[in-house]
Amino acid sequence: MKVLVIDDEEDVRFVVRLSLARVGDMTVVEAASGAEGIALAQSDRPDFILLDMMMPAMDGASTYRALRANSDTASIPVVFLTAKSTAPEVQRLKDLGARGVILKPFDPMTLAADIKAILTP
Amino acid sequence: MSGDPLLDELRVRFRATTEIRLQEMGVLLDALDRNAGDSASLKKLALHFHALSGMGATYGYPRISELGEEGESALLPMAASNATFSERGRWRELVAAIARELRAG
Repeated sequence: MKVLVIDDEEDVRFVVRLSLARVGDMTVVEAASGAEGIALAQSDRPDFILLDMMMPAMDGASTYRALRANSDTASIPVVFLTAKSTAPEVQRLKDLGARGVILKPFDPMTLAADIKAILTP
Repeated sequence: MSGDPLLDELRVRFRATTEIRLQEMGVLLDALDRNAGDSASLKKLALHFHALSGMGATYGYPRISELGEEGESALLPMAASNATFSERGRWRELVAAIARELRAG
């Protein structure tokens, strides 16, 4: 399973990379910005995208809308990564069309299992 | 050490990157002491607290997440405001507390 992680924070990408690769046996592709992520989503066609909400320049919501507007990437499932843990905020993200939401901070030992549970119909 | 190689590797990495982050936060606080209305420094400082809030507990430092959240909550609403002397003092205290947590763990 290949995942594209889009997050401006290197610390986040690092922990996601180690967690999903080692614990979840996934292949991880990384982007440090929304624009880079959109390009990688088109070229690498990941099985799903883990997308940070709060990023400078192009935030998670804008990146998500751009992914959905592109026929090459529109069907790739997106899981949001956010530190805003209020119920209305989580619901807002789901209403956007996201497959699910992972809250920061998260447990690196269970992240892969949590994502698989979200992606399993 | 946690006893789990993955968690131990993560903590080593987090300590190293956070020491650098704390130095950058100190530089931003110095800039705010010179110009309390420096909105770019306020925004960068808020992003640093945001990152620490989001990642501290993930890397095994739950108290750093709490301290980061306090800083982020205080800073985010005031992007266009002047930071008062007492506010800047509190942020320095938070940065110092985060450094203590990091070095104790």
